[in-house]
Amino acid sequence: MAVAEFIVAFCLMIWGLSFFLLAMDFPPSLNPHDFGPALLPKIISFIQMALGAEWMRQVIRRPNKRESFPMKYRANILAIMTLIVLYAWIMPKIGYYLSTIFFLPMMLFLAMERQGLRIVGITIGFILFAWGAFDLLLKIPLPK
Amino acid sequence: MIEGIYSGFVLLLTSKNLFGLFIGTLVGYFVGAMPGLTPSIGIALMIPFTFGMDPVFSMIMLVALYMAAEYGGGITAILLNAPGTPAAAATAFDGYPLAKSGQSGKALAISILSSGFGALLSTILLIITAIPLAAFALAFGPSEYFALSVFGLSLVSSLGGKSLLKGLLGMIIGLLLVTIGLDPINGTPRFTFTSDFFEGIPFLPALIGLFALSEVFYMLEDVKEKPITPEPLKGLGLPLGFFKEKWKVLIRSSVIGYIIGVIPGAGATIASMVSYNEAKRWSPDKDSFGKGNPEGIIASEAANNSSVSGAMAPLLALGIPGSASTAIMIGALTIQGIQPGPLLFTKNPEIPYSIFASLLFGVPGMVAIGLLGARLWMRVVNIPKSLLATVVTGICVLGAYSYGNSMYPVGVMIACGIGGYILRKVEIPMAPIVLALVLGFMMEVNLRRALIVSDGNISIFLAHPITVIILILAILTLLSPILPGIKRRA
Repeated sequence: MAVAEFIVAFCLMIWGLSFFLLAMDFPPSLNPHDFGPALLPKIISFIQMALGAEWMRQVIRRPNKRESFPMKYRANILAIMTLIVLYAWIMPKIGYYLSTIFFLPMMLFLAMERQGLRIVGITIGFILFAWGAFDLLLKIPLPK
Repeated sequence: MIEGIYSGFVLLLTSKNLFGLFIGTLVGYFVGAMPGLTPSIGIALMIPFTFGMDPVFSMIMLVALYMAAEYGGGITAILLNAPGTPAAAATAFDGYPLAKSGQSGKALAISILSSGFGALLSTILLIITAIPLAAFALAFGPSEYFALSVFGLSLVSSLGGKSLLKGLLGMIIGLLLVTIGLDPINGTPRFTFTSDFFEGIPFLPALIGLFALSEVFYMLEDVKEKPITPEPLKGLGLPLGFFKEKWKVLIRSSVIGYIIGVIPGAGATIASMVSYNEAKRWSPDKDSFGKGNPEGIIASEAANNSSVSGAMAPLLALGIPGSASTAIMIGALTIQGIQPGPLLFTKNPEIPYSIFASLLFGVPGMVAIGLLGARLWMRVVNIPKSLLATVVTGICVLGAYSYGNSMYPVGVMIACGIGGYILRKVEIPMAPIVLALVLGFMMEVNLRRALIVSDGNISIFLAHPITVIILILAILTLLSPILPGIKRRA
């Protein structure tokens, strides 16, 4: 059995079920000819549950001959995902430029870049590019 | 119409807009030549830079990028047997064998000239068809728009990849995401866990995440792969009169590409494959295909570039995307406060006419840049994946932040990027999700409006002939993958 597919299908079913239950509490429309805000979310979430269940059935019945979730450099990629989430969390607290000075070299290192000059060059180059293109040219104020 | 096109040229021929055309073409070649970066990713990454720009400038740049990226994919397909874009896969069938036989220059010249011809002919077809189509669509009411959005969604059967079930699941995920936010008719909050969610799932950050950030994780998996050494580039010319014998393939492929491009959801990959197949079917020398037959390159390249203009037709005339790239362009127009669709030609005529002008004027430029820069484009594959992945992540974060000057879109982008990566790993395609994100809102609003104006009478969807025809087409399209099986059993 492809465990990864089974887990994703199960999660999609749970997502569908929770949205279906939440949609039960939506108020009816004031216009009697309008079916209101709940009907479509209910239908869509019901279909998601049904398709998720069918997928799970197929996964259980199908013999799995290949790796369930092929992923090279798993630890590095998971670390980079965590790093991106942390970057977004810390950015409003310490500002765009400071958080980027930490983020870019760490991501480059986790992406197995080992040439110091490249790491420094890309970090400085990207920060200059962000400042020039967004702050200066497009006047989009980045978090300070 | 002639005045409109003339005014489009006047708008285009300013130094600023010509600069946009040039930059778009350069970035497009880079994106196209880089295996892993598709035109959709290129457009998604470029959009944040257009936020503060004039809409005409930004559309000229994005259209040039889209067109050049479709060509750029052919360069690496020919020289490395590594198609830069999925649509260039058919180019590699004959392009690479021709390059290996020492005729790389000839293969590239055939490819760029066929692309240029396809792009030019399809632009003329676009101008001829888009305006009448938009005029026709002006008569559409809510029931027709509802049918149109259902038709668009039914294309999940062709976009869904190998499994219809997974394609449908992708579409349903997209539709469920669209229901988050304020209800479009009454303003009732739906699944709004915090006040940020009132605005719903912002379309562009979601797209940047689904396409670009999820691709970053794929790049990281190939981070240690050694770059492929390209076939050396020899000569860059064709004998005079080469296309004299090939004009039938050229025209047929361009027309096939345009028609397939117009069908929402079909896209450049299907166009180039169908066109390649047709070239082989009509050829007296079928056995030479796959061994370096120039007609194979012509068929694939003319069709995939021609499909770009084809995909612009439903975008401009009906406001529905013809491809994943045009779906992202709808987002680019919307954030500029411009609603694509039939009213675009009357409310913002400068947009479609400047697009026509940039397509007509940009093609010779694209050909020139393509021929002159061939040696440069083939080098982009040598950029280390670690650097590219980091820079793309940086642009994704900047782009999502710029969308709303807040961290909420950044959060959406990251969630969609990680979610998209997981979904891609279990082979749920991204295109149906995007299709649903674009069309879900249109479907719900028009369904509810149609029922309100008809006092809840569902027969409104059977009372209008256009609605009925479009709905029948939608059902047939959705069932098309399973119809042959039913026929066989019968």
